[in-house]
Amino acid sequence: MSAPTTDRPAALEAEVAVPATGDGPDDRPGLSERLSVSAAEHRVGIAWSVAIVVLAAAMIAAGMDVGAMLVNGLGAGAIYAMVALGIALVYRATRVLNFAQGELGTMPAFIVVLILLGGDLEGFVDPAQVSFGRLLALAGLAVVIGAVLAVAVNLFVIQRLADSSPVTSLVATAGVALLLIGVQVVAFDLQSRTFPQFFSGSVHLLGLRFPSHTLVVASVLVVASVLLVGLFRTQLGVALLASAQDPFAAELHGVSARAMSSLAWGIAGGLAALGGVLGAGVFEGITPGLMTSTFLIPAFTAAVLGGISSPAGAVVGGLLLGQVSAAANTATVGLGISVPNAPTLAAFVVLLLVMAFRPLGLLGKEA
Amino acid sequence: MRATNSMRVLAVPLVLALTLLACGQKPGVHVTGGPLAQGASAGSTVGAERGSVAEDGTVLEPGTEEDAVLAEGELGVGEPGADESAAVADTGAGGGTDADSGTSDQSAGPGASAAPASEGQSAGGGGARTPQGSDRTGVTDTSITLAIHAPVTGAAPLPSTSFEKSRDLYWRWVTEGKGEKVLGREKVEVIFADDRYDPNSAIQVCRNLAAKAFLLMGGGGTDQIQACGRRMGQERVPYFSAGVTETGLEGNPWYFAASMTYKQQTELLAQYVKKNFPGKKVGAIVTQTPNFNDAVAGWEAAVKRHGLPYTTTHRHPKGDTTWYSTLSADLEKKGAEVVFILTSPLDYIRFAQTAEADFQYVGVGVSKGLNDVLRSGCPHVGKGTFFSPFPALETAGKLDPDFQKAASKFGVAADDIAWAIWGASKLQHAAFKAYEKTFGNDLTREDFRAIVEASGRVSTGVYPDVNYRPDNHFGGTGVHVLKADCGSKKYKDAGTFKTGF
Repeated sequence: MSAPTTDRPAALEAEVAVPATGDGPDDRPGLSERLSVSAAEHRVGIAWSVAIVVLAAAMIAAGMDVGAMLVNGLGAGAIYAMVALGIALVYRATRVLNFAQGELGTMPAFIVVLILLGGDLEGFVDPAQVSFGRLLALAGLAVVIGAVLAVAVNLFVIQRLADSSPVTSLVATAGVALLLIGVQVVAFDLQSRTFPQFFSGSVHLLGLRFPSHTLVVASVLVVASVLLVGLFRTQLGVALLASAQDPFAAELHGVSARAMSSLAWGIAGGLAALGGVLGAGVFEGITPGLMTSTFLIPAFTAAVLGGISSPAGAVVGGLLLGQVSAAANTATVGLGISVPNAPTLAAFVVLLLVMAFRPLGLLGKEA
Repeated sequence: MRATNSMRVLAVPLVLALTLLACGQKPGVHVTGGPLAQGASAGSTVGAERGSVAEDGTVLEPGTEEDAVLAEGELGVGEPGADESAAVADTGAGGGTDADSGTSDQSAGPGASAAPASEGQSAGGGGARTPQGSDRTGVTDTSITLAIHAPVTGAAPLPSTSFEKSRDLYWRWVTEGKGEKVLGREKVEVIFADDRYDPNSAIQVCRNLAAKAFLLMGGGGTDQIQACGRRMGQERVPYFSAGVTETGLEGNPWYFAASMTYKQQTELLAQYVKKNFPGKKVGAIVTQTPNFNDAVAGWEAAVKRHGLPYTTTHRHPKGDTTWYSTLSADLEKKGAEVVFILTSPLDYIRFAQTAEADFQYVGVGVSKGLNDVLRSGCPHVGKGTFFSPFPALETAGKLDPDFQKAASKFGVAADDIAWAIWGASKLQHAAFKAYEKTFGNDLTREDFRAIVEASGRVSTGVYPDVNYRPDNHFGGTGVHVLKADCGSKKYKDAGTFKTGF
C-alpha cells in the first residue's frame, strides 16, 4: 500500500478544498444566487425545526411519553446510523453502494458466536456467562475480521469491476451479501442463536430509563463518528477523499487509489463488524442474514436521508429515522389509531419531504 | 448533473433491497417444481385435466351449497360434479362410518384410526365406487408425491432445517419401516419448499409444488398459508395446514384445517386465562395483518364473555422492528400482566427481550410452541404458555412410540417440527385409507377432496381429533397446552387433547 507522499498534501488539500458544484467552474452559481439558496435552506431548516417542536408539544399535550419515545428512537437509530456510516464512507471514497455492508457485520458476529461456543455448534451461548472483557476482546477481533473481509471484497470483487458501471458494482455487492448469507446458513445452520450484550438491564438518566445496550451503541457511534471526522482531517483522510474525487489526479500526486479504496473498505468493514456485534445484541440473538434483513434497508434510507456521500449525514439520518419510527409508534399507540406499517410509512414520508427540499439529503453535498 | 445521476443510481439499490430481502435461500432448500414457467405450464395441464372432467359430464350444476358460500369464480368449486356429491354421500355412509369407528383407538399406530387398508390392491385397484375425478397430478403407479411449504428464510422465518429433513419421516416409516403400501404404492415422496415468509413468494412456490404434488401442506406462517390455501382453492388442489385464520379460507372446499383455527381457539384461551390467571389484567399484541382480524374479534368477544379484566389490543406493524419498546411500555403502563401474543416467533422473542415487564405470555400460535423459540428466547420467554396442534415432544413416546423409532431408524432428529409433520402426515394417511376403502387405489384430487370432507371424526393420536363436514373444513376439536421450560429449553405438556378449561 503506498501512502501519500509528504510533499503532496498542500496541493491535494487545495484540490479537495475546491467544491465542485457542477461540471466545471463556469457552472458555479454566482454569489447572489448562492446567498439566495442559502437563505432558502435556512427557511426550510427553520420550518422543519418549528414543525418538530410543534409535533413534540402536541404529543406531550396528548399525554404521550415523549421521553420514552426519544429513548426508543435512539436505540433503533443508533444501529441504523452505525450501518449507514459504513455505507456512506464506502460511497464517498469509492462511489460504490455497498449492499454487503450488513453481512460484513453479521459474518464477524457469527465468528464471535463460534468462539463463544468453543467450536461446538450444537452448544448454546449463555449471555450471562460472557464477561464484559471477553466480549470486548471478541468485538475487537470481529472488527479486524470485518475489516479483512471488506478489504478482500474490495480487492477480489470491486477492484475488478473498476471500469464497469456503478450499477454493476452495486449488483456485485448484493451478490457478496447473498454469498455471505449462504456461507452462514451452511456453516451455522438455519437457527437463531443467542448473542450477548455488553451490559444488560437499564439505567436511569435525566429521568428516563435507558436500556444499557442502547447507551453502549450510542457511545460506540459517537466514538466512531469522532474518529472518522478526525481521519478526514489527516493527510491520509485527505488522500482518501482526493482519490475518491479524482483517482487519476490523485495517482498523479502519488496517492494509490487502490490502497485508498481498500482503506475505505477496511474502515467500513470494521464499522460493519461493530454494527453486527451490537446489532445482534439488540435482540440478543443472531440468525443468518440478520443485519441485511433487519437493519440494511433502514440504514440505506438513513444514508439517503442524510446525504449518501456524507458520513455525518448518515449518522444524522440514522438517528432521525429512529426517532421518526419511534414517533410513529408512539403516536399510533397514544391516539389509539391503527395505521398499517406506520413507522415505515412515516419514514418514507419524511424521506420524500427531505428529497423534495434537499435532493442531496440533509447534509449531502455535490461531490 | 452528478446529483441527478446519483439519484438514478439510488433508485436501483432501493429496488435491489427489496429483492435482497426476499433472498437468502438455503442451498438445497429449493422449489422442486421448477421455474415459474414450468408452473404455468403445469397449470395448463391441470386445466386440461379439468377440461376433461367437464367433457366427461361430471360438471356440477350451479347452485350448490359450495357456490353459495364462495364468491363466484373465486375458487375452483364450479365443477365439483354431481358425481362428486354422490361420492360424498356414499362416503358418508361407508368410508365415513368406517373412519369414525376407527377414531377411538388412538394408540394403535399410524393410521389406525382410519378405515383399514384394502389388502393387496394395486394402483387402480377397485373400491366400492369408481372415481369420477381426473386430476391425478403427483400420482404414478408406484408413488404418490406430497408437498410442504414453510418459511425458513425471509423477514421472520422459522429458522430450522427440520422441515426439510423430516418432511417424509412418517411415510418412510410406513413404507420402508413397516413395509406397508399406501394406496397400493410403494413410495410416498414429500417435497419441501421455502416460501420465504412472503405471501407472494408463497403463491409462486405453491403453484410450482402443485404441479408436482398431489396435495400441499402449509407448515407455518398464517399469511403464507392463507395465500396458498386460496390459490390452491382456485387451482383445485387439496391443501392442509394447522388451523390458522378463517379469513379467505372459509367455504374453500379444497382447504382443510388440521386443527382448530385461531378464532376457534380464542374461546378456549379465554377460559384458560380465566382459570389460571384469575383477576390479572390482560392485553394483546397482534400483528397487523387482515388475516388476524378474525382471531382478534374472537378473542375480544371471548374476553367480554368471560369477564376478563382487559386493557387493550395492540396491532403491531408487520416487518418492522421499532415497535417493541413502545407497545410493551404501554401495556405495562396500563397494568397488563397477561399478554395474548399473536405474532411471528421472531417478533415474540424480540418483544419479550425488549419488554421491561415480566409478562405472562399466552397464545394460540402454531409456531410459538416450537422449542426453537425457547432455545433463542430464554429466559425472556420462560413464562410462555401456548395452545398447539401437536403435544410436547416429551409426550411423543407415549402417544406414538413409532415416532422415536422412525427417527432413530432413518437418522432424523426427533424434534418438534418432525413431530408436527408426523402428526399431519398421519391425518393424511387416514384420509388415504378412507379413500382406498371407497375408491380403491385410483387416486384423484376431486374424489380425495370429497372423501376428506365427508370423513367425519378422525383421530390420529397426535393432533386433536378433526371432524370435517362438507360445510365445515375447520374441523379441529381441541388443543394441546404447551408450557415453556427454560431449564430444558423445551416446552412441557400442560394439558393434552383439551376441549375446555
